[in-house]
Amino acid sequence: MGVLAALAVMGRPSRVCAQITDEPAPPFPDPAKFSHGLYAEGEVGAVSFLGRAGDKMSTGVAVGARLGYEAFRWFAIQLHALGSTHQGSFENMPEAGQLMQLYQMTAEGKLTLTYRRVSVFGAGGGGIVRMSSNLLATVGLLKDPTSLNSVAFGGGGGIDWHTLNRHFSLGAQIGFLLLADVRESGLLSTTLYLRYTF
Amino acid sequence: MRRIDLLACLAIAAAGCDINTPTYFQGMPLEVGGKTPDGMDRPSSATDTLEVKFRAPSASDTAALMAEQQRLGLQQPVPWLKRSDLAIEVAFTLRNLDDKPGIALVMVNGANEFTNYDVAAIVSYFNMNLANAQDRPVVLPLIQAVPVMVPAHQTYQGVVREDDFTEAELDLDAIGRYGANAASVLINRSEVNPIGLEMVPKNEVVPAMFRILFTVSADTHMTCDYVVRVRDGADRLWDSPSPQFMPAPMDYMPALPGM
Repeated sequence: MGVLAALAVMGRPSRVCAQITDEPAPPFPDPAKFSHGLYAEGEVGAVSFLGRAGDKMSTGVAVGARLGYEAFRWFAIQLHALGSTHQGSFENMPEAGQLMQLYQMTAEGKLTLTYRRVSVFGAGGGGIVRMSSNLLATVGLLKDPTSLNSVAFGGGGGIDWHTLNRHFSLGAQIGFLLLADVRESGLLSTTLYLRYTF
Repeated sequence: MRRIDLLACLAIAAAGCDINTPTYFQGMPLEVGGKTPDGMDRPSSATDTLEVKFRAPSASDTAALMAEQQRLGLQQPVPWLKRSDLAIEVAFTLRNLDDKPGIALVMVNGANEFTNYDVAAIVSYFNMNLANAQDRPVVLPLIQAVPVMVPAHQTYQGVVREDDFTEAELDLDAIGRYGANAASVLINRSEVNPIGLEMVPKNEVVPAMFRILFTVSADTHMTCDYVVRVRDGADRLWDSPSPQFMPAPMDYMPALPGM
């Protein structure tokens, strides 16, 4: 009987079978596991004047914050506040050395492209920039010498690196704002930030 | 509690935006010494007058000032523009256009809402009333900077500081409203030697200057640009459409020597 069974098996063509029993291993780290939604950022960096105001005011230290909400993984809206302090560099003029602070307050839209832990993003928006004094008016750069506010709009971009903690990421960004009420001038900000997503 | 903390943080941040909010007023450029384009000698001294515009007090402001005067028991009115509310500074740049080094001297005079102190007017008064030049006393300015040497074709930047104005404003009030001897109070720094201030009440509310007479003198051809920086801690600076404060201070004229 055993001999007959062995002959029967040997007489049939052989076959190999495989079966998937588990899901494929997810990429590590999995961006889907990072927190998503409301987030806050704190940033430090520098702000420089460009254009006609560029040779009148020095680059200044900047500190700022953002509060935003990711409607989707790839799109967010955010409020941005950035304060910086600058020194007048008016060559051979009495205003040289005087200090002025800038307060930027803007609303922005942000597009993000994420690959694992790294994201690149671009943002654009507008708002108000307030100056602490009329220093730029003394050299005729303010369109309205009695107003310390300027409408501003512009954009920028940066790169974000997510930590293995699902809430925290770090990044660098650069942005440009055109100052509509300061003659032919703009602001260039470069900052490093720490972000916490709730 | 969290909401209160957040509101407190926002309030502090908002207040922080106004801690140092100076306003700058540009004076007219001055030129002294050298020759004019038509070959005439230019005067070795020039003065520019700059009046900072402030808003006028409302009826309730005036009533509050009178109440404050009563509360303090002062004989003299409490000023609308108080020294404690307004910090003034002048920054200037001297340029020596000559081929040789020169010495420049900067002086500041001016007026508060009660008294106008104009050195040129006082000197003219003495010149008119004292025939003998030897009898004419030296008239001191409210603020006199140290003479500076400016090398040929070089620039010098200087500042008349807020504490210089603080002292000058006290001196001006003592001279104008309390009959202090001008030489005594102008030579001495009040915190070091308060001579001449005996008649000024201890709780005096010192008026701030609103008019600045900026004078530059030089022995070579120089130009001078200056800006007046005002830090307004009490929202007194004029902003249209509010009515403008138009004080009419009395000219200070000292008693003639020997009279």
